Amino acid sequence: MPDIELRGVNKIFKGKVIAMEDVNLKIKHGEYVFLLGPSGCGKTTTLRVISGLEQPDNGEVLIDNKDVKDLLPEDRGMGFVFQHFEIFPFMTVWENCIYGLKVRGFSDEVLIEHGERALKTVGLLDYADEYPTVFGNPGLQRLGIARAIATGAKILVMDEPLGSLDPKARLSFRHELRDLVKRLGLTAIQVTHDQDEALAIGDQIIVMRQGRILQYGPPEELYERPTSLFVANFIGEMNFLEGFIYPNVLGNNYLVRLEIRGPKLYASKDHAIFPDFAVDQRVVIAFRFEDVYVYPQNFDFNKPGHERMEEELNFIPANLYSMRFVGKTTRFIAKFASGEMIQATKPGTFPYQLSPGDPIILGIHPHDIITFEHPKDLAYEIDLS
Amino acid sequence: MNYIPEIRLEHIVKHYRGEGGLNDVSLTIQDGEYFTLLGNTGGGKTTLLHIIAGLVKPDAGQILFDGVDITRKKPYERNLGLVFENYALFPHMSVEENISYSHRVKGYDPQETAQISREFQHMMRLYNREKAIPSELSGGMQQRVALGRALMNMEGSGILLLDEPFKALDAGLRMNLRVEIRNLAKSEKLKLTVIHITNDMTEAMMVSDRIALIRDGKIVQVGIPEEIYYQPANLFVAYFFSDTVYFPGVVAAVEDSSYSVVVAKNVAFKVDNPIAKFQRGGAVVLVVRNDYFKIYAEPVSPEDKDNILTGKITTAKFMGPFIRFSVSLEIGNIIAIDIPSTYGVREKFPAGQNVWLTFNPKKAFLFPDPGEEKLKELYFEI
Repeated sequence: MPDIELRGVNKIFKGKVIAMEDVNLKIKHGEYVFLLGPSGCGKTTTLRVISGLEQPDNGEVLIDNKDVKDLLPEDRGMGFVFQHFEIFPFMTVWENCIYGLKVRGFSDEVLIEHGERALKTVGLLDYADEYPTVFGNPGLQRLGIARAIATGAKILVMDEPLGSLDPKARLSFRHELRDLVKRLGLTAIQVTHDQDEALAIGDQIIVMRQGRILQYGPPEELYERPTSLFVANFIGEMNFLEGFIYPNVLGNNYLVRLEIRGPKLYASKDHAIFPDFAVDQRVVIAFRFEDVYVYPQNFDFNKPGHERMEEELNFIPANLYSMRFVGKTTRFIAKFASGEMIQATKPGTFPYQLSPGDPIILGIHPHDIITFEHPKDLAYEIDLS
Repeated sequence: MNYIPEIRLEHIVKHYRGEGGLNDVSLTIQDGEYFTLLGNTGGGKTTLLHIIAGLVKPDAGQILFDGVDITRKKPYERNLGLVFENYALFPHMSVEENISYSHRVKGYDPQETAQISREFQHMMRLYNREKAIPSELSGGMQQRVALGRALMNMEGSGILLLDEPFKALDAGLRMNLRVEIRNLAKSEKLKLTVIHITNDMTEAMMVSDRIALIRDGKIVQVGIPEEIYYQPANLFVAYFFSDTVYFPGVVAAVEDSSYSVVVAKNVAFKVDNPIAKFQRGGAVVLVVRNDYFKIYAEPVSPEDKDNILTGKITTAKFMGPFIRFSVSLEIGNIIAIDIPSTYGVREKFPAGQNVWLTFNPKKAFLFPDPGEEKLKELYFEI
């Protein structure tokens, strides 16, 4: 049962570009793990070090508790899937699929058994005798996956495998990919620049920035309990507001006053990063677009069925800046009197007629607000580039 | 001074050897409209944009700008602004030189050119970077330079063509630029007519006044975002805009615009759809967007709700704003539905939980059943 482990790995290119700095991680057998981060964060280098395409400057790479320093990529028991497929157009679907087995010199019986099983798994068995030119990008990538699993590899290493698909195909294919990995009981490591993809199908997500791991955990944890402002901004869609702690006696909450002479909001202490903020301490509060309720100014909270919405919510008057239906959700941008912009998303069509400039009320639940210590340079901390 | 013409395409045909091309496309794009051509790779949207720009000659058909046939005009005679996915900036020229390029080659007054170029740099929020060369700029800034250059090249024609302008950018940046570009196009000062091509449905919804969905060289549907989302013309359009769940079935009863559709033995669903036109006995596919289901952990009474499905959760996968539940239905199908991941939902619906699902009869679509083969083709793109 292969576990993958990196211990104290460093990698510096040309003596100056730090791609990996003291990277320690452990990937358990059967997990679907994502390496995620902005361009140049070291995610691809990490993948290449694990797969043996790159040697670390120091530190260890262990597979199944064995140091694999001397093992070539093809001897590490991994199947590789690439963004641009790397399918041979002059070979049939079948020949492409069994290529890895053939060069390893397996018998015809093995080729047929493994090849057929792999093509069947990805739904392409009917196309075995065709040339890959009949496929669009989704078909080519299914073949790429079939070729990777045909070798019997238990670890699937994938570099942006959905990066060449159209958005709609990418949305459905990602679930197909997860189903396949789970059905075959594989360990999967995938590099992506698409945060939604990692959230949607990953068991674990490793967020990297400037060669270091910032946070490593399941999607729920990174989404609900980001430990840094960067991760908070990088995963999902988040509002950030600066403020300071105000004296409060109500419940297990901080009262945060937004700068300067801005509105006051309650923020749950349970969801703060570092629990003990003192009165007057500067903080940054963060809350997700989808956790902001939007009400027209004349919304009747006393109407039957509406009361429960009032419970415990922070209410802040604002003005609508823009509102846009985008299909699954409607997206709002609102402006506080103090100037801050807040974004919100609500499912489907908004039931009230509103125009830009109209007064509205925003509702935010204290348990949806995460309170961070104010950093020296907020713009730098949340910079995604 | 801003002269904004209407763009009319009449019966445009373009054949390439092999696949691709356009098959009798007619469209009218209004003055000041933000119009998006949406479709998958190879559907013909880029060919159409290139024909409008004059980069590709159509085999047949006409292009009219405000009633004047410009089909034979050269690209540079059309005074359009063009922006490409890969920015296509001159790598050896500065920001200033890139933006003012068209005016410089046409030999316009240098002082006036510099003045207009400065205006566009400010409009694109490129401050104090006039001497920088493209490789010194981030992707987002490079795309702003390309936009500035396109705006300068338009010379009052007011027509801006955008070819997948944000595809190469990271997600966060892409979102912001979409809002920015629409605001820019709609600004009092510019009032642009924009033709934007993309394969991304969310992008199309975010920026457009109207969307044309294009597939296999044909326009499948044209409409405002709400119309195309809520009244899809066919199965493909419904499928294209979000993940959906479908049930092949037979119309058992019709009353005004209310249909009863039998999808399994002793299971019938109600669909209220004023646009559908089906007879009793008609073979149909009932389609529901997969975020339109309500989920309950206790039995739901048919007296309270229409369209109840019973089943058991096989897997629950947190996806951020949504949780994807895979539900094994009593009628045999396994469906994947997305439920907003509001506080407490995960704890309430673990794997193995018996659930009751409902959907609103007004939010289901009905289409003629294309047969199993065609359905599979649509949902399993090769």
